[in-house]
This record gives sequence, C-alpha cells and structure tokens, in this order.
Amino acid sequence: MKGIKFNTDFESVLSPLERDVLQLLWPDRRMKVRHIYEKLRPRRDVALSSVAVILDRLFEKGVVDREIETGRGGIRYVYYPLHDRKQFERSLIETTVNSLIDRFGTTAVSYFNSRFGDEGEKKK
Amino acid sequence: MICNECAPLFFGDPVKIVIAVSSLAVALLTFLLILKRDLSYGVRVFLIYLHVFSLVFPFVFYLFFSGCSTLFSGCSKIVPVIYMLLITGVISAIIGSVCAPIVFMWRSSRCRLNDRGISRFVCRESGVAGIRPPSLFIVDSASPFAFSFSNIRPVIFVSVGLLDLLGRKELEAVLLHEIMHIRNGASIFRFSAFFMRVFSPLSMFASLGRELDEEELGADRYACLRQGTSRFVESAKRKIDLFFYWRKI
Repeated sequence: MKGIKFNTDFESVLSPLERDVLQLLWPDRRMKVRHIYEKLRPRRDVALSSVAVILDRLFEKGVVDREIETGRGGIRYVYYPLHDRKQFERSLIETTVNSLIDRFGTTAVSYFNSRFGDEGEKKK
Repeated sequence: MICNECAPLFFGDPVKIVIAVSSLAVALLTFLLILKRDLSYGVRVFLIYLHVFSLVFPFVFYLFFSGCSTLFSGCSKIVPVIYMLLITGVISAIIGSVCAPIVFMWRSSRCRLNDRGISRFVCRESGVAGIRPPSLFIVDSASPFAFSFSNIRPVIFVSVGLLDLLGRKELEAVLLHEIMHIRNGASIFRFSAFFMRVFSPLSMFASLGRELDEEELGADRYACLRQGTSRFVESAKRKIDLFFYWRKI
C-alpha cells in the first residue's frame, strides 16, 4: 500500500473540510472540483477555490490522485481516492504508530507491549 | 589588461577540472529535475535558468583561464571571477529566456488545449488585437495561473487549476488579458526589467515595478473593454486570490 505523507502531529491529520471532501469521494470515487463543490455547498458555506485547495492538499498528502480529463465541459481534473475508507484508516494507524516508535523508540515499544499485553490478558 | 604570470594549463590543473565537471554535474542534475512532473511553475523556471547557467559556465571559465594569461585582471583573481560570473549570467539569461518557453511547450505538448470554442475565441480576439493567433497549452498544475510568451511565436499557457476554477466568461477575460500581454511584448519587457534589476545599478532610479503594474492594469482594462464589463475580470481575480490565500493558511 502506498504510504500517506502526513504531518505526524496527529491532531492536524485532516481538517474538517478535508474530511467532508473525502466522505464524498469514497462512495462516488471519481469527481471533478466543481462537482464536489456543488455537493458540499448545501451543507456548508464553502468557496470553489477552497475546495480546489483542499483537493490539491489531499493530492500532495497522497490521499487522492488526479487525472486530466477532457469532457464536454472542457479540460478538468478528476480526483479519486487512492485508498478506500478501511485502507485509509489502517494507513493512518500505521503512520501514527511508526511515528511514535521513531520518536520515542524503545519506550513506545515497551508501552505498546505492556498496554496490549495487559488488554490481551484481560480479554483471556 | 593581461597578466603574464604563467599558471598551469586548464586541463593540467585539477582544481579547474573539478570546478568545470561539478558545474556540468549540476547541469545534469537540474535537467533531471526539470523532467519531474510535479514541479511548480516558479521552481521549473528557476531550474531552467540554473541548468543553462551551469552548462554555459565551464565554457566561459575555460575562455577566461585557459592559458598563461588571465584577461581583464592584472594578476588579481577576483576581477576575472566577477567578470566571468557576469558574462555567464548574461549569456544564460538570454538563452534561458528563449529556452523556458520551449521547455514549457515541450512539457505541455501532450496537453494542447483543443477546445474549439476557446480556440475560435482566441483566433478572433488575436485578429482584433492585431497579433498572430497564439497556440494554447495546458500546464498540469492545480494552482490557477496563466502566462504567455512571445519570444519565438505567441503562446499562451493555462493551468488545469485555472480551468477548474473559472467559468467560460472568466476564462475569456484571462485569455484577453494574455493577448494584450502578447501585443505589448510583455514577456520581453518583463525579462528586460528583471535583467536590469539584477545587473544594472541604475535600476534603482527606474520605476520598473510601477511600469509592470501599469502594463498589468492595461491588460485588465483591455479585457474589460472587450467584454463590455469588468465583472468577469474581477470575479476571476477574486477566485485566483482566494485560492492563493487558502493555500497560504
């Protein structure tokens, strides 16, 4: 699975607008900027430019990909998610855990051992 | 002035060879970077100029330090180095200004803007402006921008991000703005202004920034005049400004 390039401060993994855009992209798969904007507009006060910026950011983070498509409306980007929701969540956990291990080394590993070891014992 | 103090020949001096080879290595590296897909317009232009500079540098370096004599300098090394860098800068700025549009055309060659309506509009409006109809190319970037060159033949580049954001009339306003830039030879003027700022100490007395702003305003006024309203120019600008405002946050 292609790794997602997140800023490892996990409070800022996704902004509310990024989350809304992804919610739209997951079921519909391939959408143009204007199409996403039109779907978001009844729900929240948002500008077309903001949606374009958010999609570009998600593209840079490796969450979505885009292709140039020529259609009746002219040349446009079509965006689609690189991962489905489950894969995305797994990738997010993986990135977060890796960053914790990178940052805290053996302390993080021993914490995970004691935490999940205890929970495993309790479940038994 | 010529210094007759004999130095080792160019190819016999390992320091000179290392400098020349390093410069060629930078040229190769920048060339490989230019080929990368996801580069912003500014970074690509910078890399093109850096590539040309590092390609031209070894030749100028050889001309200056090839024999027993060092031109312009007496026996000082500082003066010829300054001259050498200045001459390399001038040559690479001239070559770069010709190469940059070619690189952009080559990178965008698979993405010619084949929209009949837009092509017809540009053809008609360039006739009105009295210029050769420019070719239209797409730049694969989500940032909304358009720019034009008129160095070899008139060309307008439009980013996909701009097409995503603007409506038909707003796009026409941007194209009219660029047509006016081509008619004014603005890309040559911008290059000269940049050139003067970098190389001429007299540029501090010239109000180039104001003249460039006036040229921009003139292009906007022309677009408003042709469309009979300022509505579309203003809304296009608003959308583009908002994009870059959000991008900064």
